[in-house]
Amino acid sequence: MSTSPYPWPYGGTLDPRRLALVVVGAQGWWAARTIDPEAALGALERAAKVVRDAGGTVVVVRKAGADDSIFDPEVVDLTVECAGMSGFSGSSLDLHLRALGCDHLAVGGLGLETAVYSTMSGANDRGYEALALADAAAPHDRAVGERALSSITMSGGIFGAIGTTSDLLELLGKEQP
Amino acid sequence: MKQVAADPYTWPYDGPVDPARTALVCIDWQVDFCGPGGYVDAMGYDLKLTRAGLEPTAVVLAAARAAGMMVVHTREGHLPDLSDCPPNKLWRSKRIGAGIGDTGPCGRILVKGEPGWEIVPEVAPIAGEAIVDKPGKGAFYATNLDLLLRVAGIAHLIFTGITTDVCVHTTMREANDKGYECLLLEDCTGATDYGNYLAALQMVKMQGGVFGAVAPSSALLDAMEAA
Repeated sequence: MSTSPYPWPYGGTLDPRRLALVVVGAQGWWAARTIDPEAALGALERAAKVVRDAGGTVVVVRKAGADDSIFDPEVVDLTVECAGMSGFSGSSLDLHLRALGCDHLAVGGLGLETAVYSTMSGANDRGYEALALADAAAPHDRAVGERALSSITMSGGIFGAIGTTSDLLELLGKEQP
Repeated sequence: MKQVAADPYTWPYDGPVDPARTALVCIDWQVDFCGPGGYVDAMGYDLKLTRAGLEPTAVVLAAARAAGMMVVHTREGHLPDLSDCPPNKLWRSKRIGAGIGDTGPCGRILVKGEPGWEIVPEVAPIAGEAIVDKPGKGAFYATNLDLLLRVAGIAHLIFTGITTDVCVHTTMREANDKGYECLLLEDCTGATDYGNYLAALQMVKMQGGVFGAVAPSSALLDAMEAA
């Protein structure tokens, strides 16, 4: 495991049934304003299949007002609408995750410094154990995106930890498909 | 009053600063985040970085008070039995050697009522000012901040506080998502890492001001002094 700043998740083991892969920003506005969105979405879609097969849940959070999700619907269990940058803003995401029993979140999508960062901080305040997927989070700006990842790792993991989809799949006992 | 010369746009978007509709929000100026012996000090970070904004914030506070602007102070802290502290947050703090609830030079770390939890004297609240206690990073989650602002007719928020990339950003992002028009005063904030502070300012300004605008406190004071 190479997650930082600690081996994620904090409890040491991951029960896949308590895991949700949360995809944010997979819409036109972000796709037009991020670097290499296809790579991030591809990594997420590959991870989504594994998360599902392992018993986890794949959630897409879509900003209300534009019905333009660009995430493969074949690998999505649940779509939730939100009202802001954070997937938790004006949305039923928290309620859905609690109902599903998912308290571990792997977060990726488009807009590392915007949608992903806001959702990580929102998840953290609500007590979720969250992992930001660095290879599956397209930044608006590479240098600023690196700083967003750095901020997450400060103070012992201020919003959780950072890692890659490979780290997540390794945790689920799978190699990258 | 007039609009503030801010980046990436003149703030607020809808006209001159209106003290009746604007609140100054001072985030977590607590000993635990900028005082010797507090939580940030215990983690080994440079206190100069988180204390850098204290002086200009004191000047802005005085101007806001003189203008009759609503002032809100926030404090992060947990109940003495830590029943409102998520277990992963507790675990992470202990792992880095600054355990929430552990006893340090300023009392129990990040616990309500302890000396470390108090706001430092330079920017301490005065009678009549709102104080919002929060269990997390964002000041809107599990608090009455949104209600306080709506009852007071506030639509515009001016932010000072620490740390820029964590509690200030989380709160400013929540505010922006709720439709508040936000301004961050760049010299009235700081982070545990200077590069992350600069990037956090940049993040506000991306995409035409995705979370609002950024200005030096002098620009706000200029706008407030204008006839």
